[in-house]
Amino acid sequence: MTFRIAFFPVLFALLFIACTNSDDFLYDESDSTPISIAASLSLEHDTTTKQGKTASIYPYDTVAFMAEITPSRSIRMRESYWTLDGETWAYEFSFRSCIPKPGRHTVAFILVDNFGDTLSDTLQLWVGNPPVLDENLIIPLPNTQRIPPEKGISFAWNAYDPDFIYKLHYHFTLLATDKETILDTILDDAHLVYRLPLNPLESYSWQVTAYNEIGMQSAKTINGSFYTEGVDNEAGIIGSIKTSGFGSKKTSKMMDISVTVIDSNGEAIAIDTISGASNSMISFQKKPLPPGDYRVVAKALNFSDFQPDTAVIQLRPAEVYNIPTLYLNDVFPPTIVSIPAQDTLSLADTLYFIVKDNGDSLDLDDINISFDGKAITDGVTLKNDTLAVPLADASKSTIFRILTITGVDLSSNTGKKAFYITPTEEWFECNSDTMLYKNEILELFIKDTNPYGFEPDSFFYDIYTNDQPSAFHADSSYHSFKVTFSAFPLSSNIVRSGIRYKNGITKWKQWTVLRIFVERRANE
Amino acid sequence: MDLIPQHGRTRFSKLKAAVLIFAALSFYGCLELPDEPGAPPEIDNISVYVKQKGVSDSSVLKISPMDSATLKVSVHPRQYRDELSFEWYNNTKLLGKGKSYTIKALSSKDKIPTQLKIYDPLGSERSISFKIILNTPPRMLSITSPAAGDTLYGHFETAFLFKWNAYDDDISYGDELRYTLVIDKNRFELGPLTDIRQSGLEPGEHSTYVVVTDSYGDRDSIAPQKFFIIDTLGSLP
Repeated sequence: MTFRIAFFPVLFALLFIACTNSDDFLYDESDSTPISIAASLSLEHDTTTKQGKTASIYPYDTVAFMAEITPSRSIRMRESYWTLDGETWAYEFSFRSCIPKPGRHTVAFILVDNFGDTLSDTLQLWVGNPPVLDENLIIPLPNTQRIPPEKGISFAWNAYDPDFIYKLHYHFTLLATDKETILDTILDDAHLVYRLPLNPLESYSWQVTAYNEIGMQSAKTINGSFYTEGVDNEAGIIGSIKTSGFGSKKTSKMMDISVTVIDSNGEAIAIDTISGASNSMISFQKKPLPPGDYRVVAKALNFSDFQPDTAVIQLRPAEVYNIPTLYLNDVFPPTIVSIPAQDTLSLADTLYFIVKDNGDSLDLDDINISFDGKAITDGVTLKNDTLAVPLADASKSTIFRILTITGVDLSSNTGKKAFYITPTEEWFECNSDTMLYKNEILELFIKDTNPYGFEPDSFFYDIYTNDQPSAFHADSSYHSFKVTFSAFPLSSNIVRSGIRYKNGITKWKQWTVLRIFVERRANE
Repeated sequence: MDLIPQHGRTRFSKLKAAVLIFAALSFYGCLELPDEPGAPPEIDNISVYVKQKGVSDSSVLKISPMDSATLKVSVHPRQYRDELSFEWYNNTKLLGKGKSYTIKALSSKDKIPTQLKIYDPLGSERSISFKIILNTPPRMLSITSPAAGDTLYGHFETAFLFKWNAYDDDISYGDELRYTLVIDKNRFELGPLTDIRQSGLEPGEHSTYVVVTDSYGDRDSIAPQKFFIIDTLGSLP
């Protein structure tokens, strides 16, 4: 009986176990998710900027440290923390901090997962201050003269690492007068002996920048210069000329410049011509010269607007005199003249002006035109210094108006001229200048157009050969009569047409009849 | 009536005292554990230092071969010093015994100890290896340009030659000399340079001297010497 009672539950249990899928309880590698971590740092406050594994920083620079956990930070883990040089430092996944102590530091992010496995990722930081370079205690000092060109030259400077940790190295460059690089090298020592020969009476410059082992650059750079000695006490001149305006993108013109060295007796002992100078700064050099007192004159040859400049110098034996910059300045503004050479002009469809600058011809961009306060640009042309200003659209006026023309040359000299445009008030219309052929009859006319409503009283025609003008009573606002060729005795006859109103106001206009002593042909 | 006879009481007291003494001696014996056989005495530190011309040097052990010097032993705690015995060796060759060893002037290298063996009264041994640096201090010989009292002609931007001589017996053994040029109050660290040209000197009286330093920090200099600069301005030919 007892056996029966026990048999069935055991059998049932065995069947239950047999029906159960025990594989579900076995470890399957494909079902597992690997965990990985990655630590990174960023020097910017914004963590979206470039991240990396290494960095060189100043003490107290704020650094953002970030840890990424795959698949996510929410996985089951025992602990995670950061270490600095092996010492526990922080527990956040991401945090900001600084490392004030100079030197090399290792920062590690460590994660211990739920199974006790330890994962870690490390970052390297080099902390330091940039090297300090003394720009004053240098050999040779700036502008040193009389360095023997054949005996080599020694350079020395002082620099140190403020942290006393890192070795320093130096970027040294030696340049010739024309900025050609003679030597460009990296040095471990704060001195250099350059033993190759240099040119006599030349200017050289040298530069030194200090770096520490972690790539930090000194805040200051040494900028030295020296001049080499002349042979047999011969001296030399170097200098530069600055021209106003030239070198800008606005002009493609080139200037020819003469540099004349005049001795104490007034004799020009050297004349150099620099052709086609297109830069605003031109260098020149003159050697060898005997020691003594000189004047050096720079002059623009092809631009009369530019004033010459002079330097008075004293050349010491075997030395190079570096002349302060000579300036060729254009001090004259552009000139603006109307074609009739008058400042008061009658309104016309187009007015013409001569706009001229001896320094350089102007472009339309350099010219501003204003009529009655409004800028005029449409239809304006400039050809061979002749400026055409169309005023066809300008309405007529009964008062004087001002046309202003402004021209700016390359040296920013401004020439400005105002012209008065006479009122265009029309009291009446009459004949204008005309030619009269031998076989022609000319009809003289006057048509009253006064804008004030005055009533005409008389019309006048005065051919200057007469003492008295012909007068006609005004029945209407229009009057005309015809004359033949013989009415005009001269080849050029000035005629005055006039009108007198009943209120006594009289207005005149003058015009010219050119008498042509031939008959007009049909096709003329 | 005494239940216990008097003489029997005396015998009990003696037995009791003997047991107590035995127990005390046993306890004391347990406290005084003997040193482990072969273990050295409790000496914190034994070091070698050198003394020459009254100056002790325990860091780099540097001496000048031109003068005699004494090697000495420093033991801490000091009370063990007298219980120990010392032997000075050059490699395997025994040079001498005692708490100090005198290196004579101009000694050859094989007469200079490289190892010290220390023995305690039980015969335990300890050895210290060291290296004595023989360094001849550099000698600043002269400033050849400008010579003392020289008059130089030029002006503020004229380069004047500064040139000097120094000597060190150890140059051929790899010793290197470095120079510091002092012009007036300006110090220029020049490394191994022995001549430079410098400007920046106003007309008038100036002074200069050079300090030479070798690789081991020994240095020498000469007294500042004066020179004069006269401006040539106005004396053009």
